Amino acid sequence: MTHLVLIIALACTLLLLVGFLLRDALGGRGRRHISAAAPSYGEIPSRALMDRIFAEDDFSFVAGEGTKQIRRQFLGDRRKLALAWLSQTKGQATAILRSHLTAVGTLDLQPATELKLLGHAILFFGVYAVLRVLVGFYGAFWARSFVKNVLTLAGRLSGLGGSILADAGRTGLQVARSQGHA
Amino acid sequence: MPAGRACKLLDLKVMPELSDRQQAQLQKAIRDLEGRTLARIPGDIARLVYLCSTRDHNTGRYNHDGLCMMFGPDVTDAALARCHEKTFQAVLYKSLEQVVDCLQRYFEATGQPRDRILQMWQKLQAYHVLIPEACDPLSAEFFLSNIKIALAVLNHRDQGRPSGLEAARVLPQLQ
Repeated sequence: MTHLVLIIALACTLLLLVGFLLRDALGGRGRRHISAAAPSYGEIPSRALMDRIFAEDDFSFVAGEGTKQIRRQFLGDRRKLALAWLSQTKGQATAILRSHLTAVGTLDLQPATELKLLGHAILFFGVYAVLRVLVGFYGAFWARSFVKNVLTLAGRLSGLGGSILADAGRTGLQVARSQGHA
Repeated sequence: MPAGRACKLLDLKVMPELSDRQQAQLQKAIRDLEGRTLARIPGDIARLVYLCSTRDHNTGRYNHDGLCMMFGPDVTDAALARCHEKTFQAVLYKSLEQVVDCLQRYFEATGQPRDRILQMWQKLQAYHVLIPEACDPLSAEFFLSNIKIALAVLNHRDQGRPSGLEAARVLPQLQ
């Protein structure tokens, strides 16, 4: 019974988080003007860096070599870096989605692409929310399986970011072409 | 490290202003630099320190008299910048253990007392200048964190050893 309540509470929290993140990402349309003529498509941060941030060999090395203070510094640094990676990834995806939304009015939309983009965006922010909670609350290292899961999710997040970039990029390119920028 | 990864991490300094002839010269200059100079420097950290020493920290431009005579200032700047970025990437993707080994190797190569260099590296944090201009902030932070931890590990290792001066006093007695 307790488990069921916990699962429901967790699911509700996640849904709220995803809703909040999506609102934050997509709701900024009116608040911030981004020129459709010059869409700024950034790059999703490298997944390879996240792999290095959570590298198991580094953790084993510090655990074997350093003092408690060094270990604490190492874990704190890696946690901060992981959170920065997440926030940068989210920032890029949000910028891409905002540019896409600004461009939407000037285009003939393809419903299939738009649906795909929406699906990718929802998944992206879902995975982001889970990762943010995992890294933020539990610290960078919890257990080997924890790190493995974080890395799998980071890979998924990176992939979804790439998909968003690809989906939205197609529209952006069309806008740029129609306005003579490409 | 796969090349694709490297390119994602750091946008290598693109030189659109270089002509085709200069691009060919650039490749030649890089080969020259790698083959004649960098190959003789032991370890990536030492190479990084060397390459940074050729950069003017006010303008960000690199200079090397020998290369400049052969290839001109623009090609020299581009060649040194490329080599700097490449070496930085190599250090960035090393494991912490490898970074510690590299630093240790560099400290030994300087011929100065290790405890003194370690102290100065930790105090002055001059390693901030080892970061290339094109590096993204997250990679730069990761690099700085790795160096800080590596220095702390070396410092911890040294606590069990006699200091440079003490070692100098003990050594003649042993001989």
